[in-house]
Amino acid sequence: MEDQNQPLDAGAGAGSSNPRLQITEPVRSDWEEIAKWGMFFAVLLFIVLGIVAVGALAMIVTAGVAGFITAIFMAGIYGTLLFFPAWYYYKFSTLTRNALNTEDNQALDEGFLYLKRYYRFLGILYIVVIGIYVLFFLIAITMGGLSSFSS
Amino acid sequence: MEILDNQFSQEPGNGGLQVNQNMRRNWNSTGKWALFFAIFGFVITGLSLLSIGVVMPMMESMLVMSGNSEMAEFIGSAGPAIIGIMVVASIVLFFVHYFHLRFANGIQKAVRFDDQETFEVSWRNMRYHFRLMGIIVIAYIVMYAVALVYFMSTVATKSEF
Repeated sequence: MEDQNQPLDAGAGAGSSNPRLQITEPVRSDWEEIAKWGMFFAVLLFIVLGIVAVGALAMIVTAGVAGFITAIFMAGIYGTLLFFPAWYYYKFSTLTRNALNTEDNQALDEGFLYLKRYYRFLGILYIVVIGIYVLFFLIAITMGGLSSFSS
Repeated sequence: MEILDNQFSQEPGNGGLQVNQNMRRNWNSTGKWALFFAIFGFVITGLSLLSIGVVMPMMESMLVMSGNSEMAEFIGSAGPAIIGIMVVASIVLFFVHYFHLRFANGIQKAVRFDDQETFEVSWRNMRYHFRLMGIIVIAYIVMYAVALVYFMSTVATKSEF
């Protein structure tokens, strides 16, 4: 029979270990591969970021003041959207691989924190984009309704 | 003694790496977002599958109406091939989201009930998800590269004449 007389916050401490979920060899192997793919995606995203930066620079050189404003706008938006996922993937990958190689529990902890941050960033981005789509859809319907009403 | 120490450090859960409360919280949160992405992905995949049967005939009839009969003929003849490619792409995408869904459900269940087997299966699914995504990205890059080479060779051939 399981012992029911335990404090409610038992095992809830920030760094307390839980003996019931074990990091076994198959799990380590899965994390190893996930981290490798994470590094691949991070490198790809950094390359795309570099291409955006080169494009922005080319725009500044060729199109003068108007090009400068467009380049700043483009680099600002694309840079933010690309940099954070790339950075989170990179940190997740390096920390997780480091943790697996050196048995560093803190690094593993931080690695998964970055994976969570990556997911949260992308999730919020998705919600914002869906929101914008819905907003435009509602505006289009309202405009269409108003124009048919006036005619 | 050293051999015994090494054996001890290789025992799961007894070595340096142990599951702690922070990890459990992060996995739970990651699982919730992964569930959101999986559901969103299924919706998009379903919509794209539905649109396959609608968009192609619509495009063909629009091209006929606009007088571009050559293009309409091309769309008509290439239609089955395009539909085939889109169906295959949808099936691959379905599996990407399926593995994500299995990870999301599994990791949340494993954290909640301390279920070791589900924990291992969920990370295996996450591994498959990442692997499939990676293969898709590599395939895209290769296709872009081939298209670029084809385009450049076509331009070079035309400029020679």
